[in-house]
Amino acid sequence: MSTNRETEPSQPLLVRLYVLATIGGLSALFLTLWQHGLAFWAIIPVLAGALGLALRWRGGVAVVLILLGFILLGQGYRHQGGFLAPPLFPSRALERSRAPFALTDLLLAASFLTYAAAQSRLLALTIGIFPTDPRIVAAARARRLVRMRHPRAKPLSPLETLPLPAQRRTARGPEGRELIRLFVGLPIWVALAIPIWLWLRGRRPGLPVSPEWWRAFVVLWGLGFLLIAGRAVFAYLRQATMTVEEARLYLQDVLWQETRAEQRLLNRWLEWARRRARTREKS
Amino acid sequence: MRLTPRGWWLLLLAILTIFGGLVGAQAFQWLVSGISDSTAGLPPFMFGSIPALVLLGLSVLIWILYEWLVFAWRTRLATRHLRVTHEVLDGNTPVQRLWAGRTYRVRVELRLERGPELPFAAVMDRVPFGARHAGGSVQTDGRLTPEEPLRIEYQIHCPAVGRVHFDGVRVRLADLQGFFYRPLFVRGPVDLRVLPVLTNDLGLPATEKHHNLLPPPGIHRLKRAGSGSELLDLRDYIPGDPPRTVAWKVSARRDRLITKEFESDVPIRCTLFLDTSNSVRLGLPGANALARVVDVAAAVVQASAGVRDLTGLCVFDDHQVRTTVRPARTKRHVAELLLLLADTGMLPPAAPDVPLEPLLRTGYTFAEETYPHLLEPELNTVPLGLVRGWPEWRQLGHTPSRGRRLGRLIGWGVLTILFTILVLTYYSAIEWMYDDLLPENGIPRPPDYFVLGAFLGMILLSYMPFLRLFTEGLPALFAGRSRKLARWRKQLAALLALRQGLGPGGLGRLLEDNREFSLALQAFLAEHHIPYQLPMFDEQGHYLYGSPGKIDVLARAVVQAIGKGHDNELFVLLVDLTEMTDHLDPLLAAVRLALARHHQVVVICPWPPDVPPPSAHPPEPEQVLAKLLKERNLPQTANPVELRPLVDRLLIARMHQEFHRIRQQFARLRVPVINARSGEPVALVLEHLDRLRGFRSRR
Repeated sequence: MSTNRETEPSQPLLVRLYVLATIGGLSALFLTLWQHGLAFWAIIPVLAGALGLALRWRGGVAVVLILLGFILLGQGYRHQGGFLAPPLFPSRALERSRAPFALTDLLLAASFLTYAAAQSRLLALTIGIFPTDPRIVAAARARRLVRMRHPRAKPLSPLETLPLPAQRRTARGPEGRELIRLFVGLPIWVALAIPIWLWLRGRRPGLPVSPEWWRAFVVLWGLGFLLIAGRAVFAYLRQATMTVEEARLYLQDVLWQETRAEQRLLNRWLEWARRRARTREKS
Repeated sequence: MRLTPRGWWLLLLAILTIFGGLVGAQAFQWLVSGISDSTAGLPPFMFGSIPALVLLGLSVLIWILYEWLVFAWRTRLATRHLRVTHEVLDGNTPVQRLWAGRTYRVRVELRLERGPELPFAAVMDRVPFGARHAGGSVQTDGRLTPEEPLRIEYQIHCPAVGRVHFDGVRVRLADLQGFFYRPLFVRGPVDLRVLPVLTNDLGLPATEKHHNLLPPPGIHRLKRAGSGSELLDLRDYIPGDPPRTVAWKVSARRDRLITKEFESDVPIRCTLFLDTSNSVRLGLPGANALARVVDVAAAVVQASAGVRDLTGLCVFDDHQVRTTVRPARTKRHVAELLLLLADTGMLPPAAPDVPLEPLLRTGYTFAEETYPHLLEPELNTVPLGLVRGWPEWRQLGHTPSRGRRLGRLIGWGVLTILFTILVLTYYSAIEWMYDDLLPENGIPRPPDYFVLGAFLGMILLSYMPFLRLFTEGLPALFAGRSRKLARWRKQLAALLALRQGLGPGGLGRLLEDNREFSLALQAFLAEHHIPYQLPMFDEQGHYLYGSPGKIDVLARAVVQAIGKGHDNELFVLLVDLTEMTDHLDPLLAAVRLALARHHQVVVICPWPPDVPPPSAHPPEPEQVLAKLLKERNLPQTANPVELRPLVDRLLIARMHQEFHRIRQQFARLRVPVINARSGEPVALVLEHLDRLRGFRSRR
């Protein structure tokens, strides 16, 4: 990258800071899980996370979350009296599950968020911040074939000869604000989850289903409502902030949708007449 | 705004975590042994939720929602205030016009005029196709704030005359985690002309004798009295003649007043006729035959201006004379000609009857990059049934994809089964009617032809609705490629109808009329200076761009120039006459007229850059084919890959033969014909100009 800020000396510092944050998040996760009573099971998600960190694996965060879910589900299932629970999962005292939540639950969420945010930002700096563009992949493959003089190589189109866009975020100097915002934000997200959970926990079923299923339905409806309301608001904002060009395109499209069958019929007849005229002219 | 796969996965897993925490244990138990048995005798909290999981899922979900809201808010507010500027520098000085053959620095700045800061923006500039990237990176990224713009600096080299067009920059915005991103294009079009390279020594008077000072046999000077310096004749004094014209010595010898007459001092005029028809525009702009003849024309213009000769220009194409500039020699006139040549050098080809798919691919790729906001599905919709009944693709040489063929096969299979079921069902119904229903109710049996007609009619009526569904609908379902092409065409047609102001019916017409769509798409690409390649020959091997009409246009222009011309002019015809040898009569007649008026004519044929120049006696294409087949020992049914170089050689031989024929035809009129790639066309034109000058001034 040739920019005015390219040659700043502390280029890899940001990467190192996020590596440290990821390791910190994983360590906190391990301690919290241990405190949660999971004994050596605590090591499994941490190991997966460490592997994801070392290999810069895109799916690392997702796998850690899946493993966490599986372990916590297994633990909860066992201490709630599940008959088929694996005996390896340790069980906590039954009384603890009467409380709305424990401190370790909050610490667990905070440590996972730290890990997930730091790992995602690290991946953005080292692997890619944008999703893989199939056109870039196709252009790179076409160029490789041409370079190798492969028999299947095709001549490159002019657009394929252009420089390919970078996918990674360039690591520059330590952006203090982004780190502060991250670490300030994490406890807030966890804290915001508490009232929602308490509100959810107080819901009584309005249908003949168990309270847990009723809560699940409430969450489902809530998400659906959020989705619909969010889409409506953003669609309105989109229309309200349209440029003249976009508005004209929208109106043109509406007109075409309303009359496309008639337009197609007319234009096909006209096209037929033009073709016939050209054929006669040639003959 | 789009969610990246990373964002999708985390969002999905967060929701699943919440549900797992709420009902995971219960659902698992229910799946394993049934909820009614397992809950018997246990306290209610035993099957309660798992708070750790719910809190974890909720925290992640809230985090993602917050990031989404902030990103959406920032991008929506900030993108309206993004501005881009392009500055081209020669050294440290910004310039508005470029010169061919020189390298310049390009400075791009993306500014956020106001609004919230963007935590991450990746900016990429596209090097114009009229220039070549000569160093420096064309992309950068970082935080974008009103105080701190993003800058890119790189070098470009302008190899040929034409235009350099900067559309704007491609910007991709993302949050720092890479959960959301938004691609957009910030437009800031800048169009700069690339002028021909300035010649240093072409315009200077020749220091060597390149030609005989005597006019060649058959060419005579047109003597006319004027106010020049060369003596034309002596005659008796007529009262009113200026005293300075009296030849005193001769008058003394003859004892009567004799007056000197001088030649008319008419300056040398040169008129260039520049062919800009489709045949010379083929290929990449700046690297095609047109670019070379524009170079030649520019060199002649500058050289003529250097010795104060007058130069005119006539630009024509397949159908008409586009521009005519009368000969003149002022600096302003030369600048005007150079600007005109720069505009002409980048003219793109336009052909309506070409395969649409490559054009569509290029056009959509470019539009996706430059007009992403006009291809959004909310504004530019693609109905589901669009691909159904799309026969035009076949007429354009588009072969049905494998998926579509498979779909059609399955469709016909289903139709056959359906038909059999219908026949059996109706046959059973008729049999039941004959055997049971009619005898039981005492109804007489209807005539057989009536029953047969009803039978066939029922089958047809039941079968027809399925026919279209399975022969068109099902293949479309399997034809991903056709669906994609149909989507591209619809979205591009909407974009083109909008940008080219085609009115309410424009979109419908572009969707049905392939020629219109092809021309509109080519105009769109040309507007943005995006090169596209067109085939030269059709499937039968006919040259697609042979245009006899341009011969008439050129002949009329030459005759018109003769009518308005003065003595001894030079007409330089920069015209592609390939595949035109049978239509040259009007042009030959015009050239004869020019020669009869003591003008001179030179023909310079534009020549494709990838074709070697012809020899003096090129072999016939049939001889070349026989020789190649003998050399390579190829069977008649050879692999197309092996045949490709052979076909190329044949085409080259065909061009050489055509050029030879053109030379023969003009040689009868003693008009030199050279190709623009070899034979130093500029030197030839200057030599002719010098010869014309020599007729008057040199003895």
